[in-house]
Amino acid sequence: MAIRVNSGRIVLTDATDTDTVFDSDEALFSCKLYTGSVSLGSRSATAAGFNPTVDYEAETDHVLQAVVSGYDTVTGGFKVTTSTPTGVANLGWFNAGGTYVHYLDPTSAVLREGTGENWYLSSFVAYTFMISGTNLVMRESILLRAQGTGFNRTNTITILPVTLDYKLFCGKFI
Amino acid sequence: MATKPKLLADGATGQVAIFTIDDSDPEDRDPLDSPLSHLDRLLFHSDLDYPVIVSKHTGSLALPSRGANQPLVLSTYNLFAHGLPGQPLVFGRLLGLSANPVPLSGSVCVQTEGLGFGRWVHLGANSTNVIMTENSLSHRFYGLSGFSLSWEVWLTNFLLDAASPLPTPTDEMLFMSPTAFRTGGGKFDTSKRYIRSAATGKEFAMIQGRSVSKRPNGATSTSVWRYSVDGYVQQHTTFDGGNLGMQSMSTMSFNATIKDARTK
Repeated sequence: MAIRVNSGRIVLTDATDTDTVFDSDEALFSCKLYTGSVSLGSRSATAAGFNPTVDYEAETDHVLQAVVSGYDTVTGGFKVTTSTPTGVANLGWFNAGGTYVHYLDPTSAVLREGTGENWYLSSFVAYTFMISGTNLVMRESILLRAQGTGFNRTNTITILPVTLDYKLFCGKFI
Repeated sequence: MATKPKLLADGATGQVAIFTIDDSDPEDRDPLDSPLSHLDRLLFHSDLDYPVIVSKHTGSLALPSRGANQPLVLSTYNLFAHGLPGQPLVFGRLLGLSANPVPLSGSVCVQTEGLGFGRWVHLGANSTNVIMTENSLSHRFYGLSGFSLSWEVWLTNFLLDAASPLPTPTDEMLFMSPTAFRTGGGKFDTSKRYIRSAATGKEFAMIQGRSVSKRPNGATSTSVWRYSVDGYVQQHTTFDGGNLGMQSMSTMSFNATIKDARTK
């Protein structure tokens, strides 16, 4: 282990003086821990009768907690609970940086119903933990597309209620 | 104005900090006393938290081929047994997919055929193993070929399923020996590794915000999406027009905001 202080720089290395553990020119990811959960209700799109494709589309920021001013980065873990197997639901805790894609669906294109064929990726649901201003938010990014049938029948696509538990480090590289 | 880093420990409060000072004010201790008001000058503070990396692991994962027209497939693969008394936070990256490593953060699209279908993976942990999950869907005509993912994972001592996930602080303010330096009640220890900004030697990118964007594709029943992180892009480019054939779509221009990071 070595501590080197020179030319306005502090560097600390590991036991064998091989790896740098701290370098004042490359500051640590400095952060605070934020924990909680967010629950969302079901979301649906319905196309009835001869109507064209109907969308349920939303980009909604759910404010979770206030964070320290200046924080811009989120990492840590999240867990998903819902009643059907999709995404990483009910499988453990997962890395929370970037966007989690919860649901992908080709089946609401009902003109293809009966053929059992995946023509289109029609619906897409994702969640992102991120900083917005001085808040930790969970962005719900949802696009459900219920295709009109051209017949006298109703086509509905529904995302079931979901809970995301989170234990997140919010911080910044200084 | 010249600045220098300063290490300061206060025996009365137990606080330790490394922060930058102006040469003209060498007695300045404001970042030690009020860290959250001086984040721009703090390099370390014992009152803040840091993900502590205890080990690094490498390996490869063989993903099987998936035939055409498959419904959603959910698979879970064990990468290694973590040996910890809980479900730990893990960081990771994939090598060989792009010129830059791809961070295993959130959902990572590792394969697509342009029609919006493809294969997504996620890095996580359960009570026994560090795991990777796969979600895949395939188009009516095109399957997904099997291939191998080369992964690297950093294991932390942060237990996500525990009521108090952070390690219990020790009463040690400063310790120094020929082989070790510890401070901040165990928050900083030269036997561990920490995420820090990478002026050089980047190991992975940390994503600030979204890594995926999406939009409807006009009057069709299709959703268009794009995953873009640090130069690695997977996206939806083509629409299945049936008798009209495959049709190109306008793609998206989204790119994730990132910060370069390293651990050694």
